[in-house]
Amino acid sequence: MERCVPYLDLISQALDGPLSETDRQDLDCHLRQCPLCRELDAQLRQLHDQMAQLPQAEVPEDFTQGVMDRIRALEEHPKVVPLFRRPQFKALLGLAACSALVIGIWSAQPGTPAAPSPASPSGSAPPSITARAKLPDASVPPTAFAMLPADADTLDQDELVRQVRETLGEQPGVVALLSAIPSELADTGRQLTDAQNRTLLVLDRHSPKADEALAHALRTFELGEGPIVLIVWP
Amino acid sequence: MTEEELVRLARQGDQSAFEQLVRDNEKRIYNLALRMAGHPEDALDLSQEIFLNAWKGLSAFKGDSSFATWLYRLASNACVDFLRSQKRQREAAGFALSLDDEDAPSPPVDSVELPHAQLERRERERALHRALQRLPDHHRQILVMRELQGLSYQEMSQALDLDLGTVKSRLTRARLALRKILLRDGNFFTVSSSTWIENEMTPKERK
Repeated sequence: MERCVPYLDLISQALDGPLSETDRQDLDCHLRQCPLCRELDAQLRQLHDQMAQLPQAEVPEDFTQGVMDRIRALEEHPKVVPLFRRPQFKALLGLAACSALVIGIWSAQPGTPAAPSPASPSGSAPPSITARAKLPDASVPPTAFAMLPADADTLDQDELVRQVRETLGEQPGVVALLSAIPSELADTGRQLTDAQNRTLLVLDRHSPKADEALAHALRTFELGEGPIVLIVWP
Repeated sequence: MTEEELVRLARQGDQSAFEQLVRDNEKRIYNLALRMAGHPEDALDLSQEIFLNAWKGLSAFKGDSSFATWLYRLASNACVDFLRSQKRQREAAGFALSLDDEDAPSPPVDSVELPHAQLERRERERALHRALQRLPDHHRQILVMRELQGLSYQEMSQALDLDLGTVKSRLTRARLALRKILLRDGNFFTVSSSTWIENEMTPKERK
């Protein structure tokens, strides 16, 4: 039977169109000598012919209307596209990665000026997360992070997105939320706590919860419930 | 209007152009979804979702294949995701894959065909439908695309993101697998049953 194996592909391909002259001769020669392959060839040909005759189902009458209704609904109420799914976000994400990391590491070094707290009247950014947070035991460390300004909860969504993009640049990765985490997301990903006892939820960008988590973050912003910190994880 | 013109307009947000693209391709996508999902209700939702994904992802269509081939690519991914999700749900619920012959598309009534011939034909079609549903997803997918939808090797290569050699060998394996199921079910082939079945192949070729 093993000698027949090379001819199986030829038998199959012969159903879909003419073989080359060489292949045709090879196959014909083999079929003359092998009754089992002749039988196989006949059976596959019968299958091929009968499948071609299988009826095509008629599409339900309102199919196209249904598609267009869904598109119109989508256009009228667009979903918030997660930041890291936007092509522009991916394109810009890496620009500030190195500098952000350097700044973060620098501000964590002893002897550097202490960063003001979020409540500081100067309004400057609170300390870096990597300096203070207990990092998860990940095989790949974060390569970029961003802190939103203290008045971030007064920003509208577009401005928030613009500032995040500027800060995070092109670095692709995941999103960590610093916000009130809904209970159904609490047991996904990894949770960290920073020096201000704020909880971060670190998610893998491939996690099915990532979209939901980011949508929650943006809704939280819309409701003005506090700043959100994004950590980009490669 | 050509397909290229419709796609160009649709990419600019012209919904009526996209609507025409839907009408031009709905039958092939719906039938693919039906053969993959197995149930009309699932097929309807799945195929509409495929077109919605196409609308959302129009900017990603580069025009290096026909629009239909690109749709098949979206459909292929959507069907695989759907079947994986179904399988997870079934495993979680603890019940086996169900096959419903009544969900097979009905043939048009042929008033010229004799009743017993019609019955035989219908029975063979049911047997084929059942056997297709029992195939592994990747075999069913390539068989539906080739045998029922008539895609060329090149089109399947683009739709499934496989090289031509893999398309050809996968198609061979799929045909053999379908034949094996039908042989074991019995009474399908008019040619006498064969003792030459796939198990006799070496593991390398069985891939």
